[in-house]
Amino acid sequence: MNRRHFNRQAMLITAGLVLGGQKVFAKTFLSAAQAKQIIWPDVLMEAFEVTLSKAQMKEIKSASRTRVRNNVIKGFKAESGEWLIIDQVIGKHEFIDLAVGLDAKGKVKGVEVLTYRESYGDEIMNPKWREQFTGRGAEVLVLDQHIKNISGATMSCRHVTDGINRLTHTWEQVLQHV
Amino acid sequence: MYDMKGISRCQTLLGTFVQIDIEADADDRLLLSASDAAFNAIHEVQDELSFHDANSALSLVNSSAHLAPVPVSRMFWDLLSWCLCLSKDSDGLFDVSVAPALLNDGRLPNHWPANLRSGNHESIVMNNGTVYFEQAMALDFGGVAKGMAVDFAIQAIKEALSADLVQATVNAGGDIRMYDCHQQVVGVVNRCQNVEMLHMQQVAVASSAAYYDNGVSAIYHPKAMKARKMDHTVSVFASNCQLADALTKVAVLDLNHSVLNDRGAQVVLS
Repeated sequence: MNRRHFNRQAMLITAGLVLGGQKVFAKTFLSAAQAKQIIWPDVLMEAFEVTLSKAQMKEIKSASRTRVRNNVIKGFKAESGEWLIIDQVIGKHEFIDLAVGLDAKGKVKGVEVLTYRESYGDEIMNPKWREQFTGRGAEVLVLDQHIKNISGATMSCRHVTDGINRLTHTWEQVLQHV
Repeated sequence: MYDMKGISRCQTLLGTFVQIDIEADADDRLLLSASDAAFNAIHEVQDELSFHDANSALSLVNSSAHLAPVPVSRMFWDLLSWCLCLSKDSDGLFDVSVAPALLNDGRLPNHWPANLRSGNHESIVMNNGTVYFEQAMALDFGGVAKGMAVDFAIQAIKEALSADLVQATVNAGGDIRMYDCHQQVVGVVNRCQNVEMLHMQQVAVASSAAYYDNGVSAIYHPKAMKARKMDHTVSVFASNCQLADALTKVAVLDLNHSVLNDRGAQVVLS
């Protein structure tokens, strides 16, 4: 059996398998540095970190109508006022890493998903288990080595839209004054 | 920048996550511009055909085509012509005029009073670059536009990289098309929410699942105007993603309909 035939046989055996139990599908697309190259290709930027006060978090939550989970805002900043914020939102069950570019007026220049994660499996059918799991991450098999694309799943991006809205309000309330 | 003769990017478009993977014998600059071209192609479809955007070309047609003929773009014209042809071939199972039922159930934003809309695909008059509704109605391309956008994105990648392109995949929320699907697999979330691996039998696949809403799908029977209950995830493999996307609606409503075979589709239940 030559290698090509072996690979084909192996693929045929693998395909058709059902991966039971709870599994995380995770796929990394870009690093933060690559996202910076895409969103702000010719802009010199330095790393920044801003810690939000409780009052600021409350203001942002009230203005954006979105929960503020993390009090630390990180990313890159240019002297000319451009920002690249590296942020996380919770998708259906798992964290999704984002890079959001804001221009000097706080307008969104570009958004790139850095890492997408989602859970599938029997346990997700159980709402109590799901509730317990949400936002805590998972130490389970990462599938992106085996499966690069998933079909038949609902993949609403509402959480990302909410996250971007929260970050534009974070600029409005805090970052533009830094 | 990538050093792997490839690029993977993901953005949020069409209300979902759009993932683009390209492998090519090309430098970073070319890979980046090919992926930009693909995202731009999807943006154009979104701007033209979004039901959710009250300012899209589709919203203009929906708000006024029952009053007077509305001029439409070539993209709009071609897609609507294609959809009407599939409506005929599927005996009305695929129907872009089911929007009022989705509006009534709160699955689409109600820009206009839904209860005043009673027409169906037979009430649509296409003439000389314009669209006119003989009865008040609403079109929704939600069952086909995502697939079309994926096809446009693959086309944009092929044009940008031509002979240097080795492999490309565009995945818009599970509507997937590949350039070179040889020995490729796709994970399909089955009725138990487990991931089942299927071979890419053709270059495009789209799936419809109902596990997330107590077995009730977002696919409406055009005659009953009710959401269809589903027992399985239905995946349709086809020669392009627009067709795969549209035929999932037919397959969910009638698995044995002849149009599936006539259009060369393969259906897998999982």
